[in-house]
This record gives sequence, C-alpha cells and structure tokens, in this order.
Amino acid sequence: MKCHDFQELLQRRLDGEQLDKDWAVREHAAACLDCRSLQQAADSMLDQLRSQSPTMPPLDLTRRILVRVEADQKNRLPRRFRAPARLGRLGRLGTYLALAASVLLAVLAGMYGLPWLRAPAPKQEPQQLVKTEPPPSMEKSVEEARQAVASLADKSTDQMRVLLSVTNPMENVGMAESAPPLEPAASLRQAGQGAAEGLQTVASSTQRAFAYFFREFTQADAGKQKDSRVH
Amino acid sequence: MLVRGALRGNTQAIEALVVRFQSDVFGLCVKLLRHRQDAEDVTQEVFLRIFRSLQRWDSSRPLKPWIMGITVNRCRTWLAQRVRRPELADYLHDTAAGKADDEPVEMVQEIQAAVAELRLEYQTAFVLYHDQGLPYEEIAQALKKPVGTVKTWLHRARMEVMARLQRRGMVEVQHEVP
Repeated sequence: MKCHDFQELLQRRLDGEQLDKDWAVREHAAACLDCRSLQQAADSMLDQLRSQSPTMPPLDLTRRILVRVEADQKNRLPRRFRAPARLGRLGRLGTYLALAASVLLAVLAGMYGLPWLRAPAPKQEPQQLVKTEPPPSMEKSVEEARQAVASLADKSTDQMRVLLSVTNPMENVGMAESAPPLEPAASLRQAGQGAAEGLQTVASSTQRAFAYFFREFTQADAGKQKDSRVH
Repeated sequence: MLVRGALRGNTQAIEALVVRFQSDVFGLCVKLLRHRQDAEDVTQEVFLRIFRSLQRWDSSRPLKPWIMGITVNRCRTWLAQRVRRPELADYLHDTAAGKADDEPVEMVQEIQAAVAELRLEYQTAFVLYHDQGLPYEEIAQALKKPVGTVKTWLHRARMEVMARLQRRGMVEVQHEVP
C-alpha cells in the first residue's frame, strides 16, 4: 500500500466506514512514520469532534427571534395583496381561463365594438334651407364686374406673352424683363382698352405667323416642282 | 405540518420551527463567525429569511439543508461586511463552557484554530459534516455544489487540520515496537 492509498482509506474511516482493509492500514502505518503520525492525528481529531457538546443558544433567543419575525410579518403586505408563490392546479387553470377571457373580450370589442366603447357621434347642425343673404347692391355688382374684366385682361396679356415667345422667340427676347409690370385696371374704360390692346397684339402675331407659314410653304412647293422638272 | 402552519401564519407552528432549528443555526453561526453576539444577530436574520421565503422551499427535499444553506449565506454576507477582529478568544470561551472537565482544552483550541484558518468553503463543509452531522448529499444541497466538490473540500479541510495538529506537536507519534 502506498501513502496516497493510505490517506484515501483514512478519509473513508473518518467518514465512518468500516474498512475491510483495516489490516493493510495497520501494516502500512507500522512501516511509515508519516502515515502513522497522520493516523494518530486523525484519531485525536475524531475523538475530540465526537465528544464536543453542541453550542447552546441563549435562553431568550427564541423570544427575540419571534418578536422580530412577528414585526417583520406585520410590516409586509397582507397575503391577499401578494402574488401566490405556488398556484395549485385549479389556481393555474383559473388564471389561464381569466387570461383567455380577457383576450377574447378584447378581440370582440375590436371586431364589433362595444356600445360603451364607441365614440359619441358629433351633433349635426340642422341645415339652413333658405339662406337669408341681403340683396346685392348696385355698387357692389359694378365693382365685381370691373374686377372680373381686369383679371381677364391680365390673363389674356399673359397668354399673349407665352404665345409670342413660342412663335418668334428671337423677336421677343428680353420682353419679359423689359416689360413693366401690369397694374390692375382702375375703371371699366381702362379695362376695355387693355383688353383691346391685348387682342390687337394677338391678332398681329397671328397674322405674322400665317405669313411666315405661307412663305415657307410656297418656297417648299416651288422647290418640289423644280426637282420634278429636272427628273 | 409545521411548515404548512407557519405559512398560514400559525404562531405556534412558527415558534415550533424556531425551537426546532435555532440550536443548529446558532451553532453554525458561532463556528463560522467565531463571535457569539454576531451569531445571535445573524441567527435572528436567518429566521427572518426563512419565514419570508418558506413558500419557496421544495417540500420534496429535507428542510434542514435548506435552512443550513440560508445560514451559510447569511454568515458569508456578515463576514464580508464585518471588519475583522480577534474573535477567537470569545468563541473558544463560549464553547469551552459546554465541555466536560476532563477534556483536553488545548486540543480543542488547536482544532478550532485550525478550522478557523481554513478557507470558508472548507470550513463550511467541515462544520456541516462534523458539527452538524449532515451527510454529503445534504451538504451539497445546502451549498448548491456537487457532492464530489463537497467531498474534496472536506478531505482537504481534514488534511489541513491534521497537519496543523502534527506541526503543533499535538500528536504523540508512537514508535513502532520491533
């Protein structure tokens, strides 16, 4: 037997085991001084530990513990406010059922709407069938007409500018920059004059466009006839 | 039955549980803390913890390892917080009072001093096994460690205690008779 094996058996003996190899232990201890010393230390320690009397608590410790436990339990929340640590089978079933019911209720409320969940409809004002507006005055009508004519003149002038820039862009370069901003007409006569000027410009532009077209057309037609003669 | 009664708030059941386990808890506290007053304080704290968390105890397992586990944890916390003081004399004075007159006081002191020098894990395993009488499996439950680990700790603890006894000349080596 080696010293390591001896120590293993010694530990088992300290665990309270009855060793079959007790003779081998004695034989090794007789031959090895260190192991014999270790065995005697183990025996002394074991005897001492076995004979040791338990440490007794002070007599009033029980009362002090109970006072503190009672105070602690009073300070804590009542049982009905605490989450149960362990629910029984019925408890768990009840929890699941309550959860399922709440989910179902939420789904139904979302699909169909519950009367107490619906938002109140806005109050509709009764429509007025007859509007009671004051009769238009003469001055107001004239003023509205003046504004309409003035805006028509402005619009036609703008359209004319666009048209001119398309038909003869070289001729009208810088027109937009050089032209003074138009002011709204101050009276019916002025508005009429503006409209006439605008229409006159449009007419002259149209006339020039037609002249340009016919000139180009006649030149092209003459060129074709000359080609046919050559062929 | 006692646990059920304590969970329902039955004061008699609570008192019975305290009386049943206070010696074990206090004894372990004295051994690990080596200070009687501290051991009394920690014992009270341990029972507060026990009754606060009694509903989490697994009733399929024995109660004592669970209580010893709480005690060890509270002692560890206390030791970590406590400023170390020379407590050994106090502890030895307390424990010597319970011994028989013919016990070798010097040997007791040496063993206690040797245990006090151990690592806390070794100390705990040693005290739970030799002082509290818990088997390996219950120590493993209390410390939440594998049984093999507990065995290793205990074997090393014993070897260190025995080595100290040898060094201090507490063992008379009998020379082999030829």
